[in-house]
Amino acid sequence: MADQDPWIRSEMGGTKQAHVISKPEIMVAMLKKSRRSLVIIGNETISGGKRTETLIKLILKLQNTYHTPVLSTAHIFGKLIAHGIKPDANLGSMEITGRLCDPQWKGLDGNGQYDLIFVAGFSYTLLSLLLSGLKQGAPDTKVISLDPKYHPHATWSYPNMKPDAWQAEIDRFISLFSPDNM
Amino acid sequence: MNKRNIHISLNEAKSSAGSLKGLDIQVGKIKGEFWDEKEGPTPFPDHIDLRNWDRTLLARYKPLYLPFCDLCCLCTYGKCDLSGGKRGACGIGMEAQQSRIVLLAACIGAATHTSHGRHLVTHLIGKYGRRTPINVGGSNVDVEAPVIRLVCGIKPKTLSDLETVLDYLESQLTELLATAHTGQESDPIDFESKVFHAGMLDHVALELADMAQISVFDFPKADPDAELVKLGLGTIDSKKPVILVIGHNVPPAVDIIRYSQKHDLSDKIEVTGICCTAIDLTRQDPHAKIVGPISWQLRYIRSGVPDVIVVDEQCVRADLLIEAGNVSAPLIATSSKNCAGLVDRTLDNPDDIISDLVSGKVPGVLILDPDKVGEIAVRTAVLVKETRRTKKVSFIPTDQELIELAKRCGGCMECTRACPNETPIPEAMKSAALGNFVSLAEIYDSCIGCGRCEDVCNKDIPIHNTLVAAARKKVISEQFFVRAGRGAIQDIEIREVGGPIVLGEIPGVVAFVGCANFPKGVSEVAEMAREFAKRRYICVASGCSAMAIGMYKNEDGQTPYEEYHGRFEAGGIVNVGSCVSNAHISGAAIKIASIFAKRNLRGNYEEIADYVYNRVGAVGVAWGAMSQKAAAIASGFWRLGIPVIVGPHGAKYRRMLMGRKDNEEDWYVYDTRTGEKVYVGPVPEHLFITAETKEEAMVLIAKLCMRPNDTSRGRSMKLTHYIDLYKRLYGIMPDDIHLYIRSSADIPITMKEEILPIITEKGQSDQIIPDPTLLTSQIRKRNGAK
Repeated sequence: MADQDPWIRSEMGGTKQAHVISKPEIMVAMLKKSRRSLVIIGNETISGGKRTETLIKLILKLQNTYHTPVLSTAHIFGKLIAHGIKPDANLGSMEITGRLCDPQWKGLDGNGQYDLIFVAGFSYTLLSLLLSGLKQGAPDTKVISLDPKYHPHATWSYPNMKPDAWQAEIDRFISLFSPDNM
Repeated sequence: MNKRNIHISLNEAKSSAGSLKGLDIQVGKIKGEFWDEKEGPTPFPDHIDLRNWDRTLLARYKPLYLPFCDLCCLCTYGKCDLSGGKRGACGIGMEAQQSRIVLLAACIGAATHTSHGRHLVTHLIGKYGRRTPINVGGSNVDVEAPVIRLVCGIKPKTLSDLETVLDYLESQLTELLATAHTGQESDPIDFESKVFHAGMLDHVALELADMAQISVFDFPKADPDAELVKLGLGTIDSKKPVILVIGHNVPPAVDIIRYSQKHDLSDKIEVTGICCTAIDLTRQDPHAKIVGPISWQLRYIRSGVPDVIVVDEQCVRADLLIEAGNVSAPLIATSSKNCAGLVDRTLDNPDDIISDLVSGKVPGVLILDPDKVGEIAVRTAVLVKETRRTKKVSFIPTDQELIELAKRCGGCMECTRACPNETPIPEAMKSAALGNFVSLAEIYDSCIGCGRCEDVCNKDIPIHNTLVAAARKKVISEQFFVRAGRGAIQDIEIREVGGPIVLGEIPGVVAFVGCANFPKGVSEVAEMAREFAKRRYICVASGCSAMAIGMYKNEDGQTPYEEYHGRFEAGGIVNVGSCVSNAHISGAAIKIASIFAKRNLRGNYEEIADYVYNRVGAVGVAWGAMSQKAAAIASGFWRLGIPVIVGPHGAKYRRMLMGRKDNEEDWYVYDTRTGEKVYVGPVPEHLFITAETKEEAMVLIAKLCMRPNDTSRGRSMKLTHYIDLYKRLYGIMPDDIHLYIRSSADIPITMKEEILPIITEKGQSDQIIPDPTLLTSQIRKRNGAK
């Protein structure tokens, strides 16, 4: 499979395609540059297996190291608590997308809009549409897709990857987390 | 709209000196004949007449656009890149372009129902006469056409009256479609308003079509105790000649039933159906059988069971002629809207047509006369049954064949990448190759029957067939019941529940409607319906969703239609019928305003929509919505102020309409008693939203049933359900309870200890419950209005 084909081939994006995350340093650099970042995780975060294990580990690290707020969508809040993650908020995926497209929104804490969004744990087609909404409605916001499937509508996306390779990439990303990189 | 018709009917006219009998001359239509209700401001409205109402709603529920891609590809200026705020060569921006696409979808949907209505009415007038009376429920239904009364301002009495309504619909839809042309409408909100108009027209068309067929055929007439009919692949006796009807236009299927009855063949053949024709077929004859929703087309045909396939219009797979040919089943197309490339044999001798079909000389025929379809389908099925016995007609592999097919799989993942639900087919194939079919059988449950997996398989594995084979036991046990579509809601039922609904004491009306593009199979719809019926909401259903509800059994082996009653009252699961029966759902909301609140309906759309929006806690759930028709149906609910929740695939409609509970200024209404502006909280919070999961949808249903008019008792009941579901499904307390509690009387008594500290922390002060309206025209007394 070609790394940069949309995972569902018909979800072709358009003129502006996501950059492929070739090395985790890119994300660390973006985190350092960001004034306000947010992690949004969808219902498939808790779908089980390696995906859940990997995402939970990453989100916990992001929360603990960078104090990045986490927003869960759908009904997974309680289940995340069972996994050791206490999300900062819960909203529907459409609701948070709408708010991120509103320049006047004050954010979860009242301190203003976000400039960097990490997303993960969604079905492919739904996330494709959410990313497209953000791409058009919040053009200045950088959006990084952490799922192991290439998403053309993101600003940055992992390519299509096998679970083991993706897990290794996430581990490399986590290994760069340190106070020096804040 | 003053339509002038000339209609002269001479029944017997003898010679020059002779007599003249039954002369009937009509010139034009007399508006308001036999109806002393005062006409409202907008009979037969244009889009402009209701634009202010639309903009009022759209100011609160702002569109969120989710484009498929960055481009507009609609004219030869393009393709134009609209990303990043760029405009197309025609000047259009991304938001307007997306709303234009939504309008096109709504117009296609509304045109489809209108065209279906025209087709039905013309056919029925030709067969039964223009003066055939409208009768949807006899003396139980006085308000026979709430949507038509409301929108058109007329009270249709005969089939002929419906032609006037059709003329209106056709002219309006033409105008709406014209606005989508390059260089016309440019403003996204005006496009959205036109979407609402298309939706409103759609509900008129739905009502018209169902009224026509209920009046003429032997359908249940507003009957809450309509018969239970058989549903599922396992109910079909494949030893008999089997006819399959698919689509939405029921006259050919009715004539199949009538022909078989007339020729004493009813017990000797099986008449089965998929999609709404199936629902309407069983309204006519409860002995006919429903196979399942539209997603059952491939699996049923490839099983080889149907001997003849009769298709009419809407939601029919475009490759059925190929599929039918593969199993040597002749195909009869019956609608000019779906000719399938077949030769029109309408005027040919039936014997010749049957001979050609049975011999296989032609794979199918186009016959536009339902009577003739009745005869040809039945006779062909009987004969072709014999010839098919000697042919390979089932393509569902045996267990051994399945293992061999599964061994071919190279695990390339292309099938998963093509599957709308991203099902893990290669993994399941791996197990199947070792003789373990469990995983493949699980995929059968969430398969929507699209067949995209097969098209991309580079090993030519007939993947869909393998799923059916793996799920063989489940398929055989698909033996369910669904209550036949009852049609309208009786006036007396409305009278009894109107008060409790408006006051909030029946916590809501939840309508499960739309297609079968479900993210995780049919069972989720049934689970939602049962949950809300158990909670004493009124659940209504139609079309493929009504079938999906039936495809479930509780621990006692009962389907939801056996478990719950079919009356429009608390705790019911009410199947109104097919797609066109959705008008009885919007109609019920309108009838509450008319029968319970005594509001005039006649051409009085804005006032009634304002009433419904502020008082009737109804929510639509289109969990598997797929089609443009579903888009139009949803749009009609929006204009009435009724929110609609769709499943994750519904995001592909590319636009949500959402309120912002964090913007307090958005949630003020006028108190009609004083004219004062009163904060009422975000009720209902959204008009159109996608839920990711069934659990999210259930919480949204409970939340979106709240209305400004709820009494404290009603609000307290609605909050009980909202909080209880949220806690159970999300595992925490909702963080927005304070927005829905207007005073301590609203707090559910059993939750006081939990909620009071939250309210205290938020510093909530008591608010009055207004007599709510969004319209200044509804203010009775201006007293310090701001």
